[in-house]
Amino acid sequence: MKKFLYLFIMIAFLFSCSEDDNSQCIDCHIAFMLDTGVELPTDIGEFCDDDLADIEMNGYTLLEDIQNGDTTVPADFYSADMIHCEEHADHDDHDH
Amino acid sequence: MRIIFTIVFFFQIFSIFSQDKGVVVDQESIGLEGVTIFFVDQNLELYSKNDGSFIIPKAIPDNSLIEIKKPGYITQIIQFKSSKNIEIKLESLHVQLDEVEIIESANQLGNTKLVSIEKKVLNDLSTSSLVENITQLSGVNWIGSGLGIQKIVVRGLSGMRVVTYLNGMRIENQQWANDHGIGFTELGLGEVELIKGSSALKYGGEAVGGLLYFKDAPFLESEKLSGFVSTKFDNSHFLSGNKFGLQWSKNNFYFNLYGQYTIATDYRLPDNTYLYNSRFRNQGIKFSASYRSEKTQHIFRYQHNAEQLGIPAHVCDPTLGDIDFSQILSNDLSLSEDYDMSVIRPLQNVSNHLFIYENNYFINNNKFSFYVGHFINNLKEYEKVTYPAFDMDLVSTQLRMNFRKKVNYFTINIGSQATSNSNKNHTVDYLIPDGTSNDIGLYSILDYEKKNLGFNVGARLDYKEVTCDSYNFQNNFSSVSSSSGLFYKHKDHVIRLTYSSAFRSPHLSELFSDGVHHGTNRYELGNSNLDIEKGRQFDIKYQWSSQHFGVILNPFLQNIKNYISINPLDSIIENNRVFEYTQFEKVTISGMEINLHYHPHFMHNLHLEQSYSIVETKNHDTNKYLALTPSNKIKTKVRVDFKQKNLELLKNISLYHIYSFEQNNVSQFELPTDSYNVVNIDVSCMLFKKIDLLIGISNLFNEEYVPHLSRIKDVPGVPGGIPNPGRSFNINLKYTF
Repeated sequence: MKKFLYLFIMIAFLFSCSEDDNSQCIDCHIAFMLDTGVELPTDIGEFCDDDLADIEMNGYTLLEDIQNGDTTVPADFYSADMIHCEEHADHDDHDH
Repeated sequence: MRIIFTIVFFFQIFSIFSQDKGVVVDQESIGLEGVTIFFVDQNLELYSKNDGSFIIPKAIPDNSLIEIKKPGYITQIIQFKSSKNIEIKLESLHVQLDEVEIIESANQLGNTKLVSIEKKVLNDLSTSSLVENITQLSGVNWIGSGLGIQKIVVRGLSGMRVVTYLNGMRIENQQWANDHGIGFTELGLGEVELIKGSSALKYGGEAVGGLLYFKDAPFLESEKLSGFVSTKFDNSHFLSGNKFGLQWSKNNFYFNLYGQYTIATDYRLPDNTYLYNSRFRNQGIKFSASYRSEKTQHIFRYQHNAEQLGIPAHVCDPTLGDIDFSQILSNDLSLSEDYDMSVIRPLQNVSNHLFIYENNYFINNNKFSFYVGHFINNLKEYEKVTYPAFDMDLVSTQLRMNFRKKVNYFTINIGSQATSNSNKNHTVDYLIPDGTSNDIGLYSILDYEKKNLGFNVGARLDYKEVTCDSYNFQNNFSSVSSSSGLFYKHKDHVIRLTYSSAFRSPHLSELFSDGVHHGTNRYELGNSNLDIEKGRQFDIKYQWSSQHFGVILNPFLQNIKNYISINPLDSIIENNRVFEYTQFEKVTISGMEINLHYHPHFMHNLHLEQSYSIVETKNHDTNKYLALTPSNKIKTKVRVDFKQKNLELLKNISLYHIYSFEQNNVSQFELPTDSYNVVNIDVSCMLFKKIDLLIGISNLFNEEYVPHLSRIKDVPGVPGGIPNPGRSFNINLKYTF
């Protein structure tokens, strides 16, 4: 009985470490390419679940121009290659 | 009830008295405690008691091999004879030439005296990773980035050329790419055997560069449930790892169970910045069960390993220009966010399932072994958050048979091996198309060993068929491999000469790649005209040792014809530089490994070990060097052992130093790398007789260094490459019960 208890505890420990796939919402941006060849990330807001999958798979239609610094990112269709929702290495908003 | 009790008691007494016993003593005939008695053919071990005695498990057939070993003593291998008490006298060993010595030891891969086999004991308690542990051997390096992605390089060769076996099953996990790691961890492993170069006849002709054979820890003969719980913390990656293991046996039934969970964040560079996306996560579970009788043994093993690996030094929009440093490094770490793998990209998601059934049948001096293995590898590479760019299943099934017969001083091994591999994509875009490869091999090896002289000859015939419907391709590759060795011992001098040949047929990735490889930011093109790659190797090992000093010299020369390589082209597809597989007519790899061990008479518990590895490569077609040729290295280890008494805390202190020479011998499109020194220190203690404590500091002097085999040494815009982790400490605790 003691052996089974050990086994149960060990296996329960392992499975408790598994990650749950919860619903996720992420800020996305258009990787707008300037004439200089430099990428200008332009935020387009937060997308969740099916909307997130859709924008990553099929691209995004920007309905109005966005002013990003000195550059105007025109209203247009932006293909999936230009849409990025993954996290980047900037951690300025972290608490230290 | 009383009758039943009497019958049970009678049989219990009978079984106790019917068991054979043994005793292990030292040169002064004093019993030795804690000696490992390893029944090689049964993969079963037990330990001697305080007086050196041990009870031999029931149903061990005559002539089974038993290995008796204890650190500080000369290992002995004997043949078991039933109804005869065994008394073994172990002689003290002063100079132990690491794991590379030509000695008598039980190996899966063959006879160490006749084949270039090296061994490394693996332990659940270690300050370094599985791959880093193995690379302490001379001539062995690793390629990778941080602790997440690591793979082994043997004498400058890696990937498809270094074949990996795990408990008898060949591991097929898309090992063609440098960003695809080894695919499993040290969980539950006991030992690894390594053949450098093309001598691995019994386990496949394709091991042109070498063969690694990982073995699980043996089953334990103990009706009391034994096990451990261990935890590890390493602050270079803020790595947290937990493991458990259980071992149990009863009435010739044996059971082992292990589990592991590890998470790690991005690693810290010497300048206290963090390499973004070098984080990883790993989960593993494995169990094995065995039942044996006097004539036969059945073993079933299952292992699941799931890994999530960030691929560092990438930006979201790969351009051919320089990368902005701030896009690949972070200035700080947030423990609440930086263990998260859900939104970092690129990401590899690897899931491996391995099933093995093994049957051994013993009769007289013969052993018949049969293996069936089934390996399912799923690799997903994510560029986007919600769907993978690649989703590939590689399913491999293998059958292997071996018949071993001993006749006087001769040992004959005859066997065959059949493998079927199937690669299937689940995404519209892919790098490697769907395809299959089936191969069958037959081999025969003859060993002769008598006192101070031995030789070995062997040959293997392989036939492989590769099919790819998308390209309407079907081709057959066949070739003969061979191996021969000669061993001679005169007083304290030992010499071994080996010659071997091997071949490797081109892999699906080399024949048909056509797409962006996100892990390397390259557009890769296969070449369906590739032919078989053939390697031939000469290896000489000379060993001399006295009571306090030992030396090993091991020069080697390998010629490879039709060497398959991937080379850049002057074109760009989908914003990535194009690389194409090609074949060079002749490549030479030569070098020398030297091992020294000094053990002063005035301080028997001090060990000084040093190894030198020198590797030189030449591409005769271009008159240049091969890409990713390891730099020459000097590895030094100083260890002080402390004799353990009841209340003593300290077990040993060891200091490990690597000096890597600069590498200027580079290929056409490769940059040289600088020399560096790295020092690690470990302190091992035992608390309350049950808890092992291991504390270590890696990169003690916070050296900023970029190994020549780093995956991230040639990042555009980062001159000199991205360094390895800076100084870090780690702590390991293991409670054994």
